[in-house]
Parts: sequence; C-alpha cells; structure tokens
Amino acid sequence: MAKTLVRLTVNGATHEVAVEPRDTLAQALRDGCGLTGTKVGCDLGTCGCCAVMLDGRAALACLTLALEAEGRAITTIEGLGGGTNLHPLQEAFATCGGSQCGYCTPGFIVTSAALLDHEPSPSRERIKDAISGNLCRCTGYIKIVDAIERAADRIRVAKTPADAPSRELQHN
Amino acid sequence: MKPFSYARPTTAADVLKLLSPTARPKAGGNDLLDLAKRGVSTPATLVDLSRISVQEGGPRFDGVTVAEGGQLEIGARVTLAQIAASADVLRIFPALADAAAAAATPQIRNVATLGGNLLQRPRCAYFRDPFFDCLKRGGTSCPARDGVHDEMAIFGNAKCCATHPSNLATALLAAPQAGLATITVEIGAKGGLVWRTVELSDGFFVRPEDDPLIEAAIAPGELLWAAFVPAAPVSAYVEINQKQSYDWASVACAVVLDVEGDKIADARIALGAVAPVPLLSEPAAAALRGKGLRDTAAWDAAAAAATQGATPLARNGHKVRQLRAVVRRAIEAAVARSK
Repeated sequence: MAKTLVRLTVNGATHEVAVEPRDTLAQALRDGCGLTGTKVGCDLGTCGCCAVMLDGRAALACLTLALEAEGRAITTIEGLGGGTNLHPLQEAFATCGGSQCGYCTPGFIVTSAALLDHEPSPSRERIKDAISGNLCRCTGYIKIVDAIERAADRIRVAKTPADAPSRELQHN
Repeated sequence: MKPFSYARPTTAADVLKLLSPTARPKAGGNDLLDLAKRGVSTPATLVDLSRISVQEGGPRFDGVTVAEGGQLEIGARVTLAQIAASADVLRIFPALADAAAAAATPQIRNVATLGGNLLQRPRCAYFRDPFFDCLKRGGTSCPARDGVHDEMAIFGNAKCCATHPSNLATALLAAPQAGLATITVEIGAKGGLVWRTVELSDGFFVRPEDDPLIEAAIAPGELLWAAFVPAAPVSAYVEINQKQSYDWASVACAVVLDVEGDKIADARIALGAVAPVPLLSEPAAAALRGKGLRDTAAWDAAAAAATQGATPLARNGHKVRQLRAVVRRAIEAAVARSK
C-alpha cells in the first residue's frame, strides 16, 4: 500500500510523516516523529502504555490510526513540562516511587495529566477510576495514586495566586 | 495488520456508496483494529465516519437529544464517555449510563461509540484466534464446546457458545420499544437515502442457529445511525466481571421497572453475556409484576426465575449462580432509583 504524507500536530509542533493507512498513531509517533516516549505494550488496547491526549482527552495510540489523528491536537509525554522541566506529575512519580521499570509510566502520566486538566481535585477513588485502563506490573498502584494526589496538590498550590488573588494582590 | 485503503467521505450518502462486505465503516475503531491486528478481519477498505457532516432531515448522528414526549435520541457516533456523563441519559434512562460507564477503560470510552459498542464482535477467544476452527468465521466446528468455555453462554449455546459482548445492547433491550435507525442508499441513478427503524427486541440480534456469521441484522451497505429510547427512569444495569477494569461482563442484567405507588406494575429484565444474543427474561419479569417495590422475596424469586432453562456447559455452571446474583443486584439498584 502506498504511503501518504500526514501532518500531525504533536505537542504544538507540526510533523510531516509518511504513513500507510494501516499504521497506528503509536507507530507514527515513535518511528515517524522520533517521539519514543509513547510505549507500545499489548498493541490491542488493554494495557494503556500508549496513552496520549487527543484534543485534551486520554486515548490509545495503538487503536488510533495515524491518518485519523490528522487535524487533532496530540499531546505525548514529551509535551508535558515543556520538554525540559519536569511536569509536577513526573516529579511526583519520581518522588513517590510511582515508577519502577518505567515502561507503563508515560501512559500513566499522560492519562493522569488529562484527568488533572479536567478535574484539578479528584478523590482517590476518582484517580483509581481514571487510571483503571493502565496496567503496571511493578508498583502495585498505591505509589502511583499517591503520586497523582501529590501532583494535584502541587498544581493547585501553583495556580492559587493566579486563580484566587489574595487581598494584598488585589490592592496592588 | 494486512494493508487496507482508507476513505474519508464527508457525507452519509458518500459513506453508504462505499460500504460493502469488504469496505467497513470505522467510528472509534477499537474492535475493528483488534480484529484486523489478530487477522480475524481483513477489510480491503476502511471508511472513516468521523468527517461526516450533519445530515439534514433525519435523526442526528451526534449528540444526545430529548425528543417531544421525553424520548431519548442518541446518535450512533456518541461516545461511551458522553453517554455515561450525560445528564439527560442519567435522568431518562440511567441503565444506559450504567452500561456505558462499565465498558472497557476510560481511554477507550473516550473514543468508542454507541454504534460500535452495539456492533462489536464476540470476545470468544477461539473466534479471535484464526488458528482455531470457528463457526463464526465460516468453519465447521466449535472448539469452545470441548475447550475453555468458562465465560461462555449458558443459554442458547447448542451451536455456538460465544456470548454477545455489548453492555449497551443489554441495557437498550430492557427499555420497552427501544429502537435503532439505520440508513442505506437506494440502488439506482437517484441514490437517495433510505431510512429504516427496527425495534431491538424484534429480530435485530441474530442467533447463531439463524446465521452464525453475524450478530446483528444490518446489511453490509447499511449504517447504524441512531438509537431511540423511551423514558425508563427507574432502571439500572449491573454486571459482574472477573477483573475490576477492562473486562467484558461475565454476567450482566438490566432492569426497567414501571412503578405505581409502592407496587411494581410492570418490569422488563434483560440478561447480558449469558447467550449469543441479549435475552429478555419473561419469567423474571413475571415474578416482579404486581409485587411490592421493596418485596425482597419477590426480588429473590425473580433472580431465581431468570436462571430457568439454563443449559450450562461442563465448565461454566458458576455463571448460573452469578446470573442469579446479578439479577438480584440490578433489581435492587433499579428500586433505589424510584422516588
């Protein structure tokens, strides 16, 4: 099957990639864009390793065709934290021991970043539900949930001055 | 995956002109790509449904709308995440929101659609592995009968014992007069659109005795477009799984109650994951009719009646007991939604 050029918008940058219709977004990101942070585990939608954001919502890159991702805003693990700084979730996963072998970690972090974008203060139960499509064979999940809670707290604290100006700031 | 070509038409008419036994419609594509990766399905063309613009003069392909008379109209392209979170669905037919929330994983629910959920193929491991013979793939035998069939059918399993995989089908079947709208394109020069509506309880689901190759009576050139659901606010869907996430139901039950005062005037009880098609259990419904809303002896009687006529295989007798439990839980969950 002939390859066609597809324009993918990944982490705000445009990538032109030659793909076959059968190529998944996961293949296009890893082999075409050189963004190997997105991992492929089961390649059948069961493990969540390949989770990316499509227009701000968590989705699986192994069950998305590269062609259908054209025109969508794709966010991968490389797009969090601006590429050079650690995103609060990445910092919290490292601090809390939420990552061991690390293969599932990008999927967990992208999925929880999508959660925190829409729900800044999720309950522990809500966090567990949001990551129920991500499998980790190392950690036992408790430290992952701890890390997401820690990151949520840090993001809320960082946003507080802008969202709710204090009395002093209002006077200035 | 075997190579395929990819078409991205922008109108329903153009989609319908392309569809054929080898050119298949793709919405979320979760099941389609799973089947293609396993080599079970080898479409020559995938027809992307994501670019179809709004169709004039028919039901909507997108969104949840409340029609006059309070009936829900849900486009086939609506995602499971949207159904699970829809205030209208939760108010008018909460069993459907339960069923959507219980499906797959959050990532898949963000992409998977109502239409795709209803038309997904069975999860039988023998069907999904081309190494094995399978009646559903045109073969002559069913290795599941003498194989690993712990999760397979306990009703209607004489020929094929794969269970129907759709949560939403079970929930919709419990709603009285729930229907689906489909469209085809007229053969001939004019090529106008032809609408068809079908009641879910009236032959939409195909038994393996009638045709083992398909599970739904929808033609290769026909597109599922929308579902209509009458109001059934006292309703619930409950399933029991082996795993807490990303697992198709071991057994499932959707209950719709018509409540008058503190009595159950009428009931509909649909059973899922226990037969090749979702089943309505009349014995279970009969055990509730005329009984008190909180008559737990009647709930137990209905749960026991739902297992009448079960024909479990050598290794899945446990599903009979699970079915009894899930029917009891679903009745209790529906009653909790009455005022």
